[in-house]
Amino acid sequence: MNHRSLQEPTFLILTALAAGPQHGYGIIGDVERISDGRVRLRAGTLYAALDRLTADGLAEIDREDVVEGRLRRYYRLTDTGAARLAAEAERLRSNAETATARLRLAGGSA
Amino acid sequence: MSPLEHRLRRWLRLYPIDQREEMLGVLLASAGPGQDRPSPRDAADLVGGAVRVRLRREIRSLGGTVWRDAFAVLGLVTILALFVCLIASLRAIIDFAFVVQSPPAPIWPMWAPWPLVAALSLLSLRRTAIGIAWAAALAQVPWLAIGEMDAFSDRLGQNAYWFVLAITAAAALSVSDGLRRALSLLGWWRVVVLLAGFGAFAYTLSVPTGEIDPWSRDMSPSAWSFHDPRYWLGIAPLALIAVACTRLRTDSGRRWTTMLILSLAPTVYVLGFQIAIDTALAPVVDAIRILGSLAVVAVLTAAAASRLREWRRSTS
Repeated sequence: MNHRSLQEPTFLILTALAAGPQHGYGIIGDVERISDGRVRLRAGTLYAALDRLTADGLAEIDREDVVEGRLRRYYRLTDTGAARLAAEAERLRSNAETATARLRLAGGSA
Repeated sequence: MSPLEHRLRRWLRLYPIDQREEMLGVLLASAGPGQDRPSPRDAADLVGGAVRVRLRREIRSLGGTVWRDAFAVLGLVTILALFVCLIASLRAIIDFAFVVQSPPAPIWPMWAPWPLVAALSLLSLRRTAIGIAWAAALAQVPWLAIGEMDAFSDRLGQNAYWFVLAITAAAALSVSDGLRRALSLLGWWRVVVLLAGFGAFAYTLSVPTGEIDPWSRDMSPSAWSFHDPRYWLGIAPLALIAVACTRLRTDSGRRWTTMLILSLAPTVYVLGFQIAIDTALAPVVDAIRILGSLAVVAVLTAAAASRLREWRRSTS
């Protein structure tokens, strides 16, 4: 099935969840690490994305904890989400390989 | 509770209740030392996120019970407005100027099916009612075309309002459980007030042009409109309709109130514009007139698409 390409924050959130269930603050930190500090998610952006991902069946709630009186909700990747992330990673890899090969060709002919 | 938490809780009221506590924890954990309010960028991000979440959930719920109930009431009120057209056209009042709303075309067969639509819907003959409603609404298209050819009058603009109202009524019936449901949602006293409001509205539409107070002739239009008795006659029925339909305590009530304000925006506009004509609000009121009807049609189309998707899923 053809899907629209994922936006970078969505791709990074799914990547963060691919390692295992995480809560909101954990995802923010992980996304910053994965992107080498380029992408720093804010709470509004993160929860709008999580709301959409759970509605689309790409992520789901794993469990809820209460830590120091605060609700902490953990999210995990669904099988559909994992397949979607894998397809997107493959698409990006293929595009990157093509771009690299063409740049090599251009460099060789110069 | 710290000043930061207090302020964050106020911002988080923009979000659905199930997300607030969880987000509060994240926002407090992300805050810098000594921070007592969210930064402007964080505040803008919270507003943007809330708009996206609310809109997406609203669109997803269009096929659900809450919206079906809202559309049932919308169908009832718009059909009652179309009854007014029938009364107006039977009284052949086209020659009189209108203050409250442009007159419906005085062609009674265009309006005659609507009482039948209402009766069928009340008898739970839903599909037949919907079919006749759409036929009655689309039967107006030739009259709109005739109005367009008449370059010396504003007949097209006048007819367009009633046409959109008829389309709204037909679409609202199609995506709701019908008028019987609307009556049970409103309750008897609201229905009585609603009928009184539309009765008064029909009377207002039938009143001939009044003499303007000669002392006010040199005054601005916003001032002389108050001296025209029909202006006040126009406010009274709208107030009754508003009292009958405004219900903000329930989820479906808030939605049907919004839909009705948008559906009846052109009528509200005619009254509102006379107050706002000399003020900076005039362009805003004018924009609501156009965008209101378009927004209602867009929501009904999205609801129909949602129902169609559900139907396909259930039959596949």
